[in-house]
Parts: sequence; structure tokens; C-alpha cells
Amino acid sequence: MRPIAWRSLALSSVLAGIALVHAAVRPHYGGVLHMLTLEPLATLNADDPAGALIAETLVMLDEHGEVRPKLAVFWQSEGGARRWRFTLRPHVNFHDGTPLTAAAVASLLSGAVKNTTVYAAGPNVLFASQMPIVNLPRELARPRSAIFRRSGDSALIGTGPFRLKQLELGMRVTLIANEEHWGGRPYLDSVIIERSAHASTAGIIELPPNTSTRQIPEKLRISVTLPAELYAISLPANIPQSTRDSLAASIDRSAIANVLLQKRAEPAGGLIPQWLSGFDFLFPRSRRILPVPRTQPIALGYSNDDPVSRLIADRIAVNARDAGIMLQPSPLSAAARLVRIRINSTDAEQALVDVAANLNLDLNTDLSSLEKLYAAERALLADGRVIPIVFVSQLLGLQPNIRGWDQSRPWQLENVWIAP
Amino acid sequence: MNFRTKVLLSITSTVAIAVWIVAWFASAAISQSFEGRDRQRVGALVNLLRTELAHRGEDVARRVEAIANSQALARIAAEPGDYSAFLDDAQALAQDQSLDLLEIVAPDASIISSAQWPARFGYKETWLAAPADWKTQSAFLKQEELAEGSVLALVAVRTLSNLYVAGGQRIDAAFLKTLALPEGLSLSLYQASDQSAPREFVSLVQQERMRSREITSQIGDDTVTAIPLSGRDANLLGVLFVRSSGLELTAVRSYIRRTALVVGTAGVVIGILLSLWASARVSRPVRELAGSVRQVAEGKWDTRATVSSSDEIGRLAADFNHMTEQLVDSRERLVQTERVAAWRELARRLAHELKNPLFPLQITVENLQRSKALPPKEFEEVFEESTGTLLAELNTLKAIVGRFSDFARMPAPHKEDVDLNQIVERVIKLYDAQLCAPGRPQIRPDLQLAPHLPHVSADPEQLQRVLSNLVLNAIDAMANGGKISISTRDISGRVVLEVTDTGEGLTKEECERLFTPYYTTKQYGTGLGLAIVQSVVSDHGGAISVQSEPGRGSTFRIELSSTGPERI
Repeated sequence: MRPIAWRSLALSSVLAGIALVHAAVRPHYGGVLHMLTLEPLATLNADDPAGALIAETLVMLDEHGEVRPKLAVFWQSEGGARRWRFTLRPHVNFHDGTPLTAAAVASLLSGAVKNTTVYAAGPNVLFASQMPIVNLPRELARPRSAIFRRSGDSALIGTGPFRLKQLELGMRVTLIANEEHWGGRPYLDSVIIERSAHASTAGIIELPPNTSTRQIPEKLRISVTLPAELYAISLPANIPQSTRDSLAASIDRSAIANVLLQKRAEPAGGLIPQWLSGFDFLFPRSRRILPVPRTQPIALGYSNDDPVSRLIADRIAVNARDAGIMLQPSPLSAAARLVRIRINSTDAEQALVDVAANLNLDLNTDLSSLEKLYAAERALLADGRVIPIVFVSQLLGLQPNIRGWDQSRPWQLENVWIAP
Repeated sequence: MNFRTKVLLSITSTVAIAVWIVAWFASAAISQSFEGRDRQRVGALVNLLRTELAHRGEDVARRVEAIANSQALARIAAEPGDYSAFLDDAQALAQDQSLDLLEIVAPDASIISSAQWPARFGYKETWLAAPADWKTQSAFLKQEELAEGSVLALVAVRTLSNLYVAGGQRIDAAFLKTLALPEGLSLSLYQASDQSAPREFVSLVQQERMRSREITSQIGDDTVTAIPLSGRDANLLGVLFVRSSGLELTAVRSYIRRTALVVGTAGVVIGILLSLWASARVSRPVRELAGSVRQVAEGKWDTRATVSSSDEIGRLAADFNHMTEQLVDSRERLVQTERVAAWRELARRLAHELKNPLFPLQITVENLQRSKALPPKEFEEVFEESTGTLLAELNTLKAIVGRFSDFARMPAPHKEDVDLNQIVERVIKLYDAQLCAPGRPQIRPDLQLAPHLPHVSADPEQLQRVLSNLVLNAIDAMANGGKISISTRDISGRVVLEVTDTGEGLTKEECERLFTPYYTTKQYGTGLGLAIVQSVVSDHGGAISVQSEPGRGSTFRIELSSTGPERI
């Protein structure tokens, strides 16, 4: 063979190899992603993970808690943060084809921020208040500040990368790609989120956080999110303070986090996790036995939809017996209950606001500094009506062909694609 | 209680007692038989239970051994330190080996995984760390704490590389159901610490704590045998109750009682019929005979009993008839004898009475005959004197004859309501002067008259004559003075009159003959006074009696029926 031929052959081989490698890392459009979730799918709201794919907010927080543009491309405050102007991203349409206008946004966000008037001014949405609202961009980054409408059958109509195709409550949510999304069409054609999909056919499987590594199929890639679900006990006021304190001290949080939840959780001393606040370690969480006189059994309600809740409740009951407190875990409603709160915000202040709202705790205080945030959280925990247990991570198993997965923003599926 | 009632009571009580005794013995014999059978059955069940527990224990030990030798446990042993990945292993292994309880325990006795109480991981099972040769230790009973409470379990322990495997099966109601129980026996199990045991079992549980051996007790109709269930340290963990139903025995006893009741009732009915028959055959002739006796007693001497059989009752009736005939003959003879005696007495009296005036008459007539020879003047004197004497003696004779005539012609009483007290007062007033007559010893009257004496139906003149006779007799009896007491009183509807004197009194013989006509203890009496008194009292339906002793006076007692109103 002539040398020129050898050179051609070698060059062809190198080019083919480069093409193959490039094909393996280049995003691929199309495909249907099946997701197996542990969520009950009993409702579909903007603050649900699936809802966040449909409805978007004006701004968003990045992984560092910084406010970034989303449906609004620019914002500024005036008059000592009493007036805010948000300029909308142009050429954005709702899933039903109607344009996203300042008037529509003002109408949909009216009442979303307390003591604030919202109105449209050209392409701008204006927020006006008598008092300074320095945290308005953060508030507008919350999922509950998402901009969406509901159709006649109450389906969500937003502007997100996916639009709702079918909703079978309690079973399945089917989303399809929004071809006209302002950020570009997502790679996936469709996302089907189910509670009962067969594990072998699902691309992403949400596993119970207590699943041991031995129980996870070897081929799955494991993705563990930051601990962003708080398990806490909410106690009624009629339980004596001493009993509440004794119960809080008796709980072996480390055993729950490390053994029961297979190290996919961290003991909770406060209401927002360490990675978010940076001061959770200041709250006491070590186990101590403070015996109290034997009392009547206390029913501890937990959600029957969440198997982890039951495990945690059972362990708490075992720990409480050591202090002489008889807890009876029950899937029925009870005055004392084990609650599970998803922390959606990456902003500590907002997260505390959300947690307090979920626990029906009053939080009318200034949270503008870290010290004030700590003081507010400490005040919320002072009476022992809320006992934080653990912050739990989400455990997801990904099939090998799932790409574009961002562990820090697990439900951002617009960047996920399926390798052929 | 009459003869028929006695017969009735005798027969019915005899039948009832006989039936009760038979029923009691039958019931006792059956109870004994049932108790013996129960003992055998309970003993067999206890043996069966022990055998079954032994088999279960061997089975549990075998299964725990299999787990200890399994790959799963080898994997755990191969990763000492962090056992969190094996948290759920015990449940799967327990399910594979059909064990109710299984704990995999680390060398430091902390639970790695628990099938029965998963939430207890990390807690210590200190009892496992105690020195023991678990390899050869057979299964034992243990009280296992669970979230829902404690249970009894048959537990075996094995080890692998310092790991402990403690597995077992519950000993509970489900286990008891696997036992084939003889009919009528039931089992129940209570832990020693169980406060929910029925009250009736509580005392047995307490006794078991003290004795720890089988105890049999009667609870209601049932027999309950308490069998202690002890653990490895011989501590009492539970009590198994074998209850032998007493329903069958109760049913048999009830049947016996019912039968006894029926038989007893039939016996009583038969007893009544027998008593009626016996009264017809026995008591009626006796009753008739008793009636005949009563009639004879009432004076119907011609009464005869019916001789209706030839048995003892018939012979008794015949003898009774013979006796009455004899009595009638004797009475007639006696009457005849008395009548002859009375006539003789009358003749003697008449002779005596008449002899006294006849002798002067004879003397006077003889004197008059002799006076014929006297000069006329003297004759005239003699004649006058003699005729006077004759007339006087003739009057005496006439009076004697009159008294006899009066006695013979006692008139029938004309009865009316009479106040006896008034008659007493009238008679005392009549004889008041005689009682207090000067020149003779004083007789002191003493009246004790009942204030509200009922009236009597009587002839007042005859009653006054009776009382006068008694008072005169009393006066005659107290020649040296004394006291005459007259009392009246009401005793059960009868008016009683008593006349008591403090005179010389009478002998017993005199008392017996006192009312005989013409009998007298006085020198000049006719012997008719008290005879008349008795006759009058008898005509008034009353009775008279006398009580007297020589030297201690006499008391005459008259009883009359009261008919009239009370005296106000």
C-alpha cells in the first residue's frame, strides 16, 4: 500500500473516532423520559417538582442563592426599595399561545406579595409598597410566585420548558416539550412522571432514602441531592413543656440519619439545613435522656403515603420510651404529628419563611441578616412545639443513558437528554 | 295432726328423702367420673403441649442455625463496624425461615437488625452478652418486648463470628390453635405481666408466682388447670390455662335434678293417693270407732261401732262393741243396785223418820186406852192431852211426808237472765240476822263478787234455794263461829260461785256421798238438801263439786254457763 493511502486511512480512522466521541457527548433531541417518583401526585401545583417544569418565576436563585433572571430580564428598585420595576423577557408565550404580557403578570401576581400593589407599565411590571421590600426579588423567586394560569379543567398553563399533556392524579403526569420555550426547546420530547412505573423501564427512579446500597441495582447511577426535606414533629400546646423538651432530647437523630436513612440525611437541630444557613450546628441535637413522669400515651400521626415517615416515627417512639414518654405512631390524624417539609428555596431566609409557613408558625420579624435569621429560628424553636429531626436528601437512580443531569438542580429536566 | 296427715307426711317425706339421696349419690358418682375423665384429658393435653413445645423448640433452633450459617450472615460478619446497610436483613431472613422473631446482634450486643421491632436497631440486648454456650443451648421461653407490647416466644440463639442470631416463634393464641384439643377443653395463655387477664384467672396467676407448679381450680362450672411457663432462669413468664368445660357435667346434673324432681313429684302424688287409700282403709274405721267412743262418753250407751274387716281394726271395733255391751250391763246392774240401795236407804230413812213420831203415838193411844178406867174428869184431861199429842205427832208425820213429796216433785226451772251477784246479796241479807244472832258464836260473812259478772240463764227462786241450802249447811258446820266466804267470778264464759266455810270439814268418803239423797252428816238432817242442790244445778246445765278436808272447812263450787250481758 502506498504511503498516501496509509495516511488517508489513518486520517479517516482518527476522524471517525473523533466523530464517535463527539456523538457520545453531544446532546441528543428526542425520547421519552420515564420518571418513577415517590411523590403521591395527588395534586399538581407550581411548587411541585413537576409543576416547576410547567410554570416559571420572574427570577430564580442559583446554587449560591444569588438572584438570576428568568422571565424578567432586568429589575431595579426605587424610593428606598419601596418601588420595584421588573422588565419582562420579550417574546415569551404561555403554553396556550397567549403572550406573556406585563398586564397578565401583574394580574397573576396581584396579592402574591403582601402589602404590595402590582401593576403593568409597558413591558414592565411595577411593585409598589408603603414599606421597603428589600427581599422582593427573592420572594418572587419562590415557586409559589410562579406565573401560571389554570385552564377550564384546572390544568396548569405556564411558560416553562414543558407543558402539561395529561394529568392522572395519584398515578401519572405526562409532560411534552414546549417547542416555543424562550430558552430553547428541551431535549426530551416528553416526560412521564409516575408512581408505579416499572423500575427497569424508568430512566430516573426516585428511591426511598433508606434504601441500602446493596438494594440498588448496580447499573444505576446514584444521585443524592442536598438534604432539603425536613422531618420534624409538631406538638400541640397541651403537651407540657417538660415533656416536649424531654422528647426532643431523647431522639437519637444520628441513628436515624446514619442507620435508618443510610447516611442520606443529616441530624436537624434547626429548621433549615446546615448547607443553607451555615449555623444549624449551633442548635442542640445530641441525645440526652431527661426522664419525665409516665404520661398517657401520645398519638404521633404520620403520613401513610410516606414510608420513611413511619420508620422515623417508629424510631422516635422507641427513643421516647427511654425517657418515659409513650408515643404511639399512627397513620391517622393526630394533634402531634410528624411532618415532612420540602425546602424548595436555596435562600436561607426564604427557606425559613417557607418552613415556618408550613408549620403554621408566625414569623413576622426582620430576617435581613444572618444574626437575625438565627435569632428568628431560635425563637421559633424556643417553646419546643416544633422538634426538628433530620434533613433528608433525595435518592435518585439514573439509567446509564441519562445525560445532562445536574445533581444540584435535579428537577431541571430541560437540560436532560437520553443518549441513543 | 290427724292420722291421715301423719300418713301423708310420712309417705311423701320418705319418698322425697329417698329420691334426694339417690339423686345425690348419682350426682356425686357422675361428678367423680367426670373429674377423673377431665384429669386424664388435661394430663394428655399437657403432655401434648410439652411435646409440641419441644418440637417447636427444636424447629426454631434448626431455623436459627440455618440463618447463622447463611451467606447473608456471613456477609454481615465480613463487614464489621458499620452495619447500617444490613438494617432490613432480619425481616427477610425471618420471612425465609418462617420465624416470628429474629434479631441479628453485633458483638457489643447492639441490635444490627430486628425483624420484630425494626426501629430498635442500635439498642443493646445485654442478656445475649452473658456467658452462655449458645451452640448447644436449646430453645427456651422468653418474654420479648415489642412495640405493641410483650409477647411470649420460643427463642433459640446461635452465633457466627461473634455475631448473635436470636430467632423465635411466638407462643400465643395462634400457636394454641394449632393444637388438636379434645372436645370440651379450651386453652388460653396469659403472660405473668399481663394485667388484662380475666379476674377469675388473676388469683391463679398469683398462686403460680408463688408455687410455679400446676394448679387446678374450680371456676364456676368449669375446671381450670393453670400450667406455669418458665423461662431460661426458671422465672415465671406466663401461665397457660386449660379450661375443661363443665357444660356436659352441668347438663347431666341438671338431668338428674329434673329426673329427681319428676320422680319426687310422682312419689308425692303417689304418697297422697296412698294416704287417701290408707285413710279409707285404716283411718276411717278408726275415726268411726273414735266417734263411737265419743258418743259413749256422751252417754249414748247403745252406740255400736261398725265392724267392717277382720283385721286389727275390725277386732278393735268388735271388742269396743263387746266392751260397751258389758258397760251397759254393768251400768244397768249398778243402777239397779243403786236403786235398791236407794230404796233401802229411803226405807231406812222413812222407818227412822216415822219411828220417832209413831212411838209417842203408840204410847199416847195406849195411855188413852188405859185412861178409860179413869174418872171422867181425869179421862177428859188425859183425852185432851193425848189428842193434842196425837195431832202434833200426826203433823210431824205429815211434814215428813211433805218433804219427801217435795223432793219427789222437784218443779222444772223457769229460766230467765239472772244476776247471780244479786241473788248472793239477797240470801246474805236474808240470813244476816241468823249470822249475827246474839247468844251464839259469830259467823262473819265475806263477799267477793266480780264487778262485771255476766248473767246466767236460771230460775232465780231455785237458785236462791240452792244458795240458801249451802249457806244453811255452812252455818250448821260452824257451830263455834267462823267465816263464810261467797265469791263469784267469770272464767272463760262460765260463771263460778264458791261458798266456803271455816267449819269442821268433811272426810273424803263424806265428800263422795254428800250429794246422795237422804245422806246426811247432821243429826237432824233429812239428807235431801244437797241432793236438791245438785238436782237444781244439774237442771241448769251446771256442775257442783266440793273440796274439803277435816278441820279445814269446805268449799262448794258451782259452775253455770253465762248467757246474759255483763253487769254494769
